[in-house]
Amino acid sequence: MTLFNTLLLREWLQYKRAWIGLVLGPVLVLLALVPFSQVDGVDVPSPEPVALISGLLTVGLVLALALAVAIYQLMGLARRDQQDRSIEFWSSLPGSHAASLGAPILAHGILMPVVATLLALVGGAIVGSAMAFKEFGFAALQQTQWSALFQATVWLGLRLAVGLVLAALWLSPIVLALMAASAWLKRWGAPLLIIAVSAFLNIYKHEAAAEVVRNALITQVAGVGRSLIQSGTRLVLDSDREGRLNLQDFFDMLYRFPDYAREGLPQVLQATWHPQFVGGLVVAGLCFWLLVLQRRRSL
Amino acid sequence: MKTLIEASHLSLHYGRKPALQDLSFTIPAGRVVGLLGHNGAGKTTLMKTLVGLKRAEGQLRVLGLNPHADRAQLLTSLCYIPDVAVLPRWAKVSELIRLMAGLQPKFSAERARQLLRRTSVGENDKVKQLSKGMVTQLHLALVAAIDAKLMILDEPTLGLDVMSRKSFYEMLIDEWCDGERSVLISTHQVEEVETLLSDVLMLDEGRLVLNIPLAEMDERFVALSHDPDAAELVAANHPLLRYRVQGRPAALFDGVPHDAVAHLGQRVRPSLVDLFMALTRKPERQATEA
Repeated sequence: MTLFNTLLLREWLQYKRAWIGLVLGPVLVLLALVPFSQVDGVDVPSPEPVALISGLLTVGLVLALALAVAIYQLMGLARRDQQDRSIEFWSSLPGSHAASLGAPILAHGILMPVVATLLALVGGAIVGSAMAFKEFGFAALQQTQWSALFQATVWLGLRLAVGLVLAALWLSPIVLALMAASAWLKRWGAPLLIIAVSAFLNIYKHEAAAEVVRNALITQVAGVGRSLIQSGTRLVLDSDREGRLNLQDFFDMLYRFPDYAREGLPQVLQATWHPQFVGGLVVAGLCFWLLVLQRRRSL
Repeated sequence: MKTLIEASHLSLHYGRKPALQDLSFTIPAGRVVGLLGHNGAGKTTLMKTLVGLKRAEGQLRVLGLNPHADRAQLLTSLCYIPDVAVLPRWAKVSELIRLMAGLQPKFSAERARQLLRRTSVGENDKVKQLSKGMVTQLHLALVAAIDAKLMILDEPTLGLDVMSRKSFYEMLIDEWCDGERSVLISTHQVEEVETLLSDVLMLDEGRLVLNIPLAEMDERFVALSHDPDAAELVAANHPLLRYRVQGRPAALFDGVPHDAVAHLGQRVRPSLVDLFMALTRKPERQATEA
């Protein structure tokens, strides 16, 4: 375990600046924009919705950036050590090829997005408080229902963390297939695989095999979406015709969100009992083996 | 004396091309062994086989282990600098020490820091800021801080200037070799390592053409410096190599030539370079040049 943890430490040492910037950048930019921002189009008579909307905006921005960076890094990961020519150095040290590949995939694919999102929640709380202070002043902040906001934030964090892990597992066969293509066919591997699959689906669109592949891809992507946002839809509230937010509805949602999240967790976990989830993991395992094989061959 | 490496009938092919052909040798403890050969002779392939990165046919035990099957375990007990090893450029020296401490159970961070004090490399330096010579010194300091019995170095000083090469070998001999540990070094710079070596293995096109302690080299190989007039007679006795020593013709023989030839010249000490040329040069090319 020391060895695997050290391989994770390597990822942290190599990418810490980028990862810190990924979280701090959006939070600092949004904080800097607070004095020039205002809630527009909706009449909000209380600080809680302002804090929540600003906080969620921060979390959403960091989450989107973290996922984009994770996908980008994972695509390059298959040949990273070959490209910077350090593979011989790492291979001269104890540790299996599987561990050398598994640690960075875990770090970039799961740990970084989860930790970035949890830190974004903290950043979002700061941005939300700053925005509420700017809109309503210090007195209103003292009357804010912090306890409800805190509970909703904690449950949102837990729900997002579990959702991100499950989303990563649903997405793993697709991402690892692209990584394996990139490992074996170099820089054109991933684009070639995408083109090949798209061409196959278009040319044979009436054939059963194409239908199976299409449905498999749709189910995997649907699994990603369901893992992330199933309970999130409960956060959507409409304003009335005058653009006024119904505070009764808002506080109802705020106080009940922990229950929604608690109820949503078993549902998304239950969705993983789907045979295709297991099948996807088998495909991901096969692609991982191809990555290990290519790493071994390249030495 | 304990044997660290035992190879018997090792062969390896890249497709149809043989890279190693029926190699058999042993390396005991406390030796500094030079692995010599031209480009493409199979040195790197042999070293990769010894550390389990390639699988060869035949029997091979390194530190009592099967290198390919027990690679992870083996790498905890030996130090290895591969030929194109590039230390990660993003890393600081202190970070590499921290990573080595987690990855290599027999690594001593304190020992690495002590070795680095011999060099001009600082702990806060980034690898990308160091010269090639400094990176090599750093790499040696890192692997020499592993408490192992065997060190395998594949062209460790390739591309370095003479000062850096000297410093590298000084650090290796002073700080790592203790009479119990063995080193296997492959290199092209035959003249520079000759004084360090206790044994030599010579490869030619995947075949082991020489495996001898340097102490026995003078007994087995005889170099004869002779007058130009005697050249034809000397050549008729099939020397391994005909060359020049201080402007005079010379010939190198495997074994003592018979008296009639031995009296034609003066016996001189054959150098490792001459022996390397004699044993790895193509006979047809030698015939043409002669």
